[in-house]
Amino acid sequence: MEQGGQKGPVKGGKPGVFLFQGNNGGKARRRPPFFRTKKLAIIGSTASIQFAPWMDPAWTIAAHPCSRPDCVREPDWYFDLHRPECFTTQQKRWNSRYYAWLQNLQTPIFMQEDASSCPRVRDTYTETVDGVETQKTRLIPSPWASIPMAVRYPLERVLAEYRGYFTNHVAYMIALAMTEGVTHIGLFGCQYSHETEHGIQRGSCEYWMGRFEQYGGTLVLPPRFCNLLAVPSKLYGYESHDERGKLIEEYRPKVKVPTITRPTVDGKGTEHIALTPIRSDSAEGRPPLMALPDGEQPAWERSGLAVDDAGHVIAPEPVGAHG
Amino acid sequence: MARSFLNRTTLDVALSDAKTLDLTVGSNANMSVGRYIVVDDEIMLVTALAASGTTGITVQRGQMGTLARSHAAGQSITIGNAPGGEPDFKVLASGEVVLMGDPGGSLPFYRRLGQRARDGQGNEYVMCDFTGTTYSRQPVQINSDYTAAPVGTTGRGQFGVAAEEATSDQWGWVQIYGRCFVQLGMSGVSPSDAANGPTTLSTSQGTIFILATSQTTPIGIGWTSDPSTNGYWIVGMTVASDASPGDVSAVTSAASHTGSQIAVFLNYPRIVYTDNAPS
Repeated sequence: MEQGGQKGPVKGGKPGVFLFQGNNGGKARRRPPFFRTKKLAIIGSTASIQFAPWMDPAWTIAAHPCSRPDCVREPDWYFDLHRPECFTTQQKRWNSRYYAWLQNLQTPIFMQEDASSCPRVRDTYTETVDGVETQKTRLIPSPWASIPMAVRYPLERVLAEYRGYFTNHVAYMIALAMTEGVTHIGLFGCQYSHETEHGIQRGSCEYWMGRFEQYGGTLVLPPRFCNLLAVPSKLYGYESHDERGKLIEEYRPKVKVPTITRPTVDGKGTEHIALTPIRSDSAEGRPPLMALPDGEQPAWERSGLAVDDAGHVIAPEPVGAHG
Repeated sequence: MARSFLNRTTLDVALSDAKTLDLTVGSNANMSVGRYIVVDDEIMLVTALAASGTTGITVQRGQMGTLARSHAAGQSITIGNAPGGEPDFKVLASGEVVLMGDPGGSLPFYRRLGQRARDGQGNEYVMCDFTGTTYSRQPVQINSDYTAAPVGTTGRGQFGVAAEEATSDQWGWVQIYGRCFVQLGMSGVSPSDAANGPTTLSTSQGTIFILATSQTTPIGIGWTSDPSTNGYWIVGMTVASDASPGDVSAVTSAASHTGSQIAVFLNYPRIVYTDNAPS
């Protein structure tokens, strides 16, 4: 088994987290085939991570850095294909010093650019001379140049061969594995079931899982805590509706919505009112309370009693008893 | 039911850019290094508290994928719990910051204060922080920081009808648009007249809702049909068009409120003071 350049525990980006080095550390191949074995385990952070084959040398382990605190040993590959602003200007909840951690990383990581192939990038800035603003460009050190272990993800090669339906990192990893003749892919700790961007990503992930099976590969899924290609488990149409013709629980949306729970008007029961949040930046959104420019009063009134500039009511005409 | 939620304070000095790291807040009493705070849709990380005084903090801007931007003075700051537990905030794909649910998980994506929502009938609600015990369908005043409390005998500003029960420091929904029932209560005035104008005056006049000049318990809303009445008028709340004259129902449930209520239509109401109503 090939061993990495650093022996023993490796200090991670999160204080107190030490992991044993994986198989690839420090000696990543910068050209295909990238993966050392024909079995690739893709690691996430949900409960099924416990089934990952950490100590099986037949498997190459790949993980997003956010999963590192949950890893049993150092992965063989990391992947972070976000644009550089995402790691140079943002502080991650799972690693408050992520950029510094990347710069000191000793495990190869797939990124948008290679550390050596992209030493500088073009930067556009505004220069003001005698009150005249001029747009200029200059070359500044590439953010990837400071990450020695960055390896360029071969996006062009993947896009040339496959449909460009990539909405998550797992999809990129599966597609790359297929170009390299990987025979087994395992997904451990990967769930896409939340009301976040992850929910949107599930479709792409399952698409690539299907592509991999169609290509002849073997998908290895954890025996528990995995909803990919498994939920809902009942056959639609044949088993998805109960004897009253209603959708069974498994087929109903799992996202809980804001709900008002209160006594009924007559005080004898309880009613539940489901709400749909209104996005503040949507066309129907209105300015927040009391936050209008120049101290202007909210113009919420759409009808009814009018108010003059001093805030006094302009007396209404009699309108009858029923408003 | 309303829920207890995170501590809050206010931004005392506006942030005019995305680079300022030193903030002046109403109070840093509930803050500590490592906590996240939310202003509008920006999450910040508290990195230091002022060595002296109780209003200074230092932060790192634009955390958890949110965009650092300017913020007006007076904006509400929601303070996350001490680090180590479950995340208090989550950033949706839309960029909106939402609060995670309480530990029981019954409200997994409760929104921030001031968040508005709509039900299936088109009624609209705003999320408020109640500062006192409030029953569902009680009239409340909504303040600029989205705190809400049952109306008093005076006041100006936004008005709504509490959609659910709450106690002090709990968050809950307040209805601001659409049809609902509202608690009635004003000493010396018959509840049954509200839908028809007080019969002692004139049934040809429409009902004008006002803050009660003398309150009942629990607190309700008063009314008059005399347009010459000076005082605190509720602008944008009328008797619902499907209410019949005299259609005021009594409520006796101790779990809700006691007294009388009437169906009204809210149109983003607010309380205004008038001292020049024509006679």
